[in-house]
Amino acid sequence: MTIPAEIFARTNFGVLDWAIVGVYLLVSVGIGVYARSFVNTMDDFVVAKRSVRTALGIASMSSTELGLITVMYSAQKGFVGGFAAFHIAVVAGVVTLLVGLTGFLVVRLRAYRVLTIPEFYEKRFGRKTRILGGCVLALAGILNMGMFLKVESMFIVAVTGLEPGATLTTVMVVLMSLALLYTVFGGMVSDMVTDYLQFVVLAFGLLAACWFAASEVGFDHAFQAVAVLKGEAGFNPVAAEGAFGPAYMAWMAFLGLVSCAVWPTAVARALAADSGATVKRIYTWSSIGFLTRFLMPYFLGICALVYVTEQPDLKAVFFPARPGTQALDNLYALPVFLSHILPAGVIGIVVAAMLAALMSTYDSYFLTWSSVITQDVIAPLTGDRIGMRARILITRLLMVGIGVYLVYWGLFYRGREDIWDYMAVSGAIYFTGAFAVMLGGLYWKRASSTGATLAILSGCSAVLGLSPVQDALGVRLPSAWVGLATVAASVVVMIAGSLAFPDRPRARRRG
Amino acid sequence: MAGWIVLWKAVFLAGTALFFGLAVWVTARGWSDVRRMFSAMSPSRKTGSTTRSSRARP
Repeated sequence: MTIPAEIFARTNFGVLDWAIVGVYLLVSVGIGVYARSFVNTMDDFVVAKRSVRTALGIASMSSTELGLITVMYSAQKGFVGGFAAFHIAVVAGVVTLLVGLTGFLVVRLRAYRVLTIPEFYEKRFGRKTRILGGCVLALAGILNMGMFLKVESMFIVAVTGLEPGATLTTVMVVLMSLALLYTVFGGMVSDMVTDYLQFVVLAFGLLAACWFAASEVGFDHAFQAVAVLKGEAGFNPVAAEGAFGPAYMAWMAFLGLVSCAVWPTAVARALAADSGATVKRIYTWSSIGFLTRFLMPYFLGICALVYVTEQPDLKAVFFPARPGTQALDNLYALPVFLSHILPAGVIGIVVAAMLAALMSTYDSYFLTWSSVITQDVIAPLTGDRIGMRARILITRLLMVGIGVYLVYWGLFYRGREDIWDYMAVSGAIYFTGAFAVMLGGLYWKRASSTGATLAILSGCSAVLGLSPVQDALGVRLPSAWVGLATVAASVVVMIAGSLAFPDRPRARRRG
Repeated sequence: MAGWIVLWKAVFLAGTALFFGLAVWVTARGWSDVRRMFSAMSPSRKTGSTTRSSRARP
C-alpha cells in the first residue's frame, strides 16, 4: 500500500537528534578503524587472541544477540501475539542459564581450540565434513540475515520521519556502508571494543524506551487493553485461539538452545574466551540478556499495539476497517510509536542505541560468515596454501560481497511469514544439522563422518519452512513442525549413518 | 487469565531489574577488560604469529 507520509512526518526527531546520532556514529566508526592497528594474525582477527574476559564477553554476546533486527522482529511478535509472546523470552533465558551452568556443548567445543565450528568438524570428522559444513553454514547464515537491512532501514525511515518510498533504498545503502567500514578494518578486536560501547548505549537506551513507553501507555493499562483486544490468547501461549501452541513452544525451546550454543555468532564468544570457566560465567550471566533481548522489545511492541489501536488515524492504516484495504506493514508500528512518544533529545539517544544494536550485529555476522567461507571452504580447498594476509583480504572482500547481497535480498524477497519465523527457518538449514553433528561429535565416540555428512544434508530440508518454497511446491506446513521434524531427522540419520558406516579406527579423531 | 497477567508482570519487572543491574556491572567492569585485551594483543606485533590457530587437542 502507499505509505501515508503524514504519519511519519509527526515524528519528534529533530536537529538535536541528528547531531546525537552523527556524533555516535563518528565515535563508533573511529574506534573500529583505530582497533585495526591491533590486528596482526587471523587469531587476532577472528577470536581476538582468545583474551576476552567475563564482563567484555557478556557485553559482546548481549549486544551481538540484541540487534536492531531483534528489536524489530520481537516488537512485531509482541504486536501480533501480545503478552503470550513472553514465553519465548522465558524459554530463551532458562535454556541459556542451563547451558551456562552445565557448559553443555560450548565448553567441550572451546577445548578443541578451533576458530570456527566447521574447523571442529574437520578435527572430529575430517576435511570433507568441514567443507560441506562450512558451505551449509555460510549459506544458511547469509540467508538468515537477508532481511536485516530492509527491516532496520524501515525503522530508521519511520522513526526519523524521512520520506517513505525511495528513501528506504538510500538508507539501506548508507547503513550497509557504515557497518562495512569498521568491520572490514577491525575484525574481532574492533568487534569487541565497539560491542562494549554499543552494549552501554543500547542497554540504557532500551531501558529508557521501555520507561517512556510504559509512562505513555500506562503499565497496568497495557495489560487491560491486551485483555480486551485479544482475550485469553493475549496471555496464554497454549490457548486454542492463540498464535502459538505446544508445537511452537517446543520449537522455541530448541531455538533457545541453538541460539546460544550452536549459532556461530554466539559460539564465537565461547571460542574467544580465556578459559572454560569464563565460558560458563559468560553464558550464565548472559542468560539475563537472552531473556531481556526479547522481553523488552515484546513489551515495546505491545505498547505500540495499544497506542495504535487508541489513535483513530493510526488504527485506520494498521487495521483498516474497509474489506480489501491493505494494512500498513506492522513492522512500522514500533518506530512510528517511538517517534510519536519520545521527546526530542531522548529519541536521538534511543536511535543511536538502535544503531548501536545494528552495528554490533552486523560486525559479528559479517565477521562470522566471511571467516567461515575463508577458513572452512576456500583455505581447505586450496590445501591451506593461502597466507595470513591473503586470508584477511579475502575475508574483507567477502564482507563487502555479503553487504551487496543484503541490499539485493532486502529489496526483492517476498515472504508471508513474520521476520522471526523467517529467521528461525533460514537458520534451521544450518543449526538442525549442526546440533546433531555437535552432539554426536562431542559426546558420542562412535559418531562417524558419514553420519555427520548425512545430518548436515538432512538439515537443509528445513528450507521447506519458507513460504516462497511452500508456494512453489503447493503445500502449507507450519514452520514449527518443519523445524522440529528436521531436528528429529538430523539426529536419526546421525545415529543411523554412524552405526551403519563407522569410521575406520585410525581415521577416527577425537571423541 | 488473571494468573497469566500476574506472571507476565512479575517476569517483566524482574527481568528488566536484573538487566539494569547487569548493565551497570558490565559498564563498570567491561572497560578494564577492554584494556586487558589490548595489552594481550600488543606483543604479537613484535613476535609475529602463525596464520592458524593452535593445533592442540582438548
